[in-house]
Amino acid sequence: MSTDGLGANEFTFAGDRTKIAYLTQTPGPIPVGTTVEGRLEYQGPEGDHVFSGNQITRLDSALGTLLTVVLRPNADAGAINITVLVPEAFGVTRNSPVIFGTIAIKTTSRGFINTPGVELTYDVLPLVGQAHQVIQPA
Amino acid sequence: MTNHDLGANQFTFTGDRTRISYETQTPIPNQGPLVQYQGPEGGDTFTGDQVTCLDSSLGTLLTVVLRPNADAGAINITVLVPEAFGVTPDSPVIFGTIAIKTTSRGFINTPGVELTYDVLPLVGQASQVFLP
Repeated sequence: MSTDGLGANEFTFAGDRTKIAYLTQTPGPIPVGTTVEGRLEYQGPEGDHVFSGNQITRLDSALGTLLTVVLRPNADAGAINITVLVPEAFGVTRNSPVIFGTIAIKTTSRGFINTPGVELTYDVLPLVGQAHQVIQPA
Repeated sequence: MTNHDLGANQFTFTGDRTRISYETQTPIPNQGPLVQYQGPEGGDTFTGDQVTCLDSSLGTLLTVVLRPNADAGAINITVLVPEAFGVTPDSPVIFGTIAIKTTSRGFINTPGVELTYDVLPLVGQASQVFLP
């Protein structure tokens, strides 16, 4: 199963009231309307969400791979996104996950207002990450 | 003068022992952006392609290399720059943001990850200035 250049095919993240799991490829049969290109499960203050395919934005950057999903899609009141910083992992085997520190950044957009200000505000969430290499059902 | 769609042409950031300024265009035409950094790693000035600007869901990621050392691990700093609205020459906009220092693991061959992160809270100010 592809690691997509991340050095592992499953990442889990735990932080304050938050758990996130990311699979680089969606396992098993592909439901209608989704693709094999990744699956992200989010449990946190905004509720439980599952994202797959193009609901997950991946961007290579100087911060590693940025994984972004939309937690509250509300253009008028201000949307909430979460972006997890995922560094490439080395030495991950089926028997030896790698544990590391990272952060997630929640961005809130300002919504439909017309006063001076900035588009985004940031909240930083420290996370403990774990990179695994797992066998998934085909 | 280009604003890179950031809504201002000069940004300043202050945080713990750190001051950063960013001009979207140097006073010299066609020289690209200008970043000045003062912090625990010393003071440095970056211009043109020494400054990496990347549009992302976090806003514009502004990255420069503070310590270019592939063997011992390089240190970069990335400032998250959100688009500013309503900035005029008389009315700057003040906002909160963060910088993230990344340290690469260098030339080692043990299990681990490529980057470690340090977060630096910053107070930003977006200004519209006239440059010579």
